[in-house]
Amino acid sequence: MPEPLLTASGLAYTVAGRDLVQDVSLAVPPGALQVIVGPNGAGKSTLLRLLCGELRPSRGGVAYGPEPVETIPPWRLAGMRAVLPQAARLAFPFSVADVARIGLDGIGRGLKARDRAAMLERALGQVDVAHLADRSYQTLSGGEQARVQFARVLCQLAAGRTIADRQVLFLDEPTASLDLRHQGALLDAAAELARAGVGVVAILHDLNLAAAYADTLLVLDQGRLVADGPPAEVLRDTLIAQVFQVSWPVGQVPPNGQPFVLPRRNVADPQHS
Amino acid sequence: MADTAARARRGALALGLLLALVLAVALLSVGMGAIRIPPGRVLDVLVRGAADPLLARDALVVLNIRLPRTLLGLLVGAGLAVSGALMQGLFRNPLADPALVGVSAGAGLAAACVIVLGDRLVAHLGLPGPLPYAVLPAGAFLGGLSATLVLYGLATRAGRTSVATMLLAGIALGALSGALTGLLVYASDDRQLRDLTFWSLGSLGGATWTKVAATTPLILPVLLAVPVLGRGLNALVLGEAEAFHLGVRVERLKRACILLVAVAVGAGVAAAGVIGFVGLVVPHALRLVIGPEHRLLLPAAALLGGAFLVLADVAARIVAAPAELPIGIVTAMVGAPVFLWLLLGRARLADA
Repeated sequence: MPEPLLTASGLAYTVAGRDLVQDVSLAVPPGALQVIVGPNGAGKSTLLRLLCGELRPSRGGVAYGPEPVETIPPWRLAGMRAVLPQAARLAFPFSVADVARIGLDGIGRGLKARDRAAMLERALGQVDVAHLADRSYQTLSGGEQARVQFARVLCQLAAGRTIADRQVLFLDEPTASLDLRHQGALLDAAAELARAGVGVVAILHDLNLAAAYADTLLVLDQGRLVADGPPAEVLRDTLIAQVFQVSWPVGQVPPNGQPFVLPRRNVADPQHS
Repeated sequence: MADTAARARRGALALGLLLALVLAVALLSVGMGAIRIPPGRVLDVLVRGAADPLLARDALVVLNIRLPRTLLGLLVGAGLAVSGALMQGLFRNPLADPALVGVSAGAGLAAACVIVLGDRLVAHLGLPGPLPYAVLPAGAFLGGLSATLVLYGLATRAGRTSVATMLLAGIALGALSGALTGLLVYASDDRQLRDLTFWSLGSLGGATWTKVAATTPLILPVLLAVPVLGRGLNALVLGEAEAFHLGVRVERLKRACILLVAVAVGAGVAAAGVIGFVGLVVPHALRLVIGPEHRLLLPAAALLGGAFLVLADVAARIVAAPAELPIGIVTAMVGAPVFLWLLLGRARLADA
């Protein structure tokens, strides 16, 4: 096992007496795509915000390599990790290229204009928005906006690679507003980054996507990490019933045993529920 | 992308044109007024100074009256427009303007206090009156700054400033100062009422080199900070968390913007009274034409803001000559229709 890029130990986050995250320890190794799943309110987004240094944990700590995250200055941290947020709205009519370029502006300041232009072009092409480059971001559909944000994150990683050789990418429900083709394309891009040595941590709601892409599945329930491991080991009928509180059967796709969860209509009689 | 170089060229072109506009407007402003001085003679005076006896009269007008007035206009206009752009970027709201940080309300209240209560206080204490004139601008500046600091304190919890709280608290604080100012207006006599009215509409009329010298060090910081703040504000357009992810020290950026704006607008109000509309309209008009990217928008706002205010001042001087209109009336009467025209022409861009 290679030395992890990021380690979290005993993480807890408490707000107004409620424990949103409790005693979570995990490591993000280079070259792996880890997927966090869990029901609404399980603390997935809070955990992500703790890991990326946005929130300070109430207990425990996060370290990038040997450095505690709170000791790393923001500009250097921005070269070491990038975050794709859930849908973002802009107050001003920035063009698509402008939005993506923001990812290059800080960290890529020292780069030649030509290199920056190449990074921008590559990122826009990679998420299939090159043809929208001059459009106003505000006029795009939700899915197109999400892809532009991903292009911005790819720009940040590309620029960051020139100052940091160990990088982590966080994705917060990256596929929420995408059609099937772009869901696949985005997660393919994430998997490709992982193959290139980036540690990828994604929150996904779709367990089938999670099963298809995750090297490791982390299951969060009520702020606690209740299971982690390869999808085939983690996704079991009992876990689905306990954590997600549905009795949907887990099956396996024949060639490589990739697990899937099949939704089942629950027509409970109101008098018995 | 091929458009990166073209973009940089377009930006440089826009700034070049605006700079030319500033110079032309400044020349016009120095030449126009009760005594008309053609641009050629203005240049003569500026180059050869008062040494030439043939130019002596014009030199007196240009160097002692019109030049400080023009410079003050450029400075205050630039400060107001940049402050507006900064506030809109910081609050992520195209409707924000410098008044939001409480400067105008605080300055207005302090000025009303000085105008209405000052002389009475002096008489009551048995000091030799009347109150020196400098007390009014100094009071307005301190009033604006303290209002901002109070507002900033209210909106900051555990080192984090909530811009939403600041917006709402600013409205509450503005209403409170408005009420107190109204109370003072109610208690004022006719002369004080007239002073208050003129002050609240603004004027560059009292410009002197002393005023320019006192105002420059307070407005210059916000203009000098422009190249540093652009990138952070661009990132902030995505949201505060996203700006942090991109390596921006968000709390420091907010603090810097709020204080720079409070000081610059406070100084502007102290020097020229309350001049509305510049901080709101200039950045907007520019966004419609050159786009919202802050690294271009901020310097462009400085140039256009200065040119706009000086032009408004020229109009204020000649429309009702030999009397002068308050400049706030001109900025609103000229600015509002132009702004509406721009807005309707590009209605789709205005949809946020």
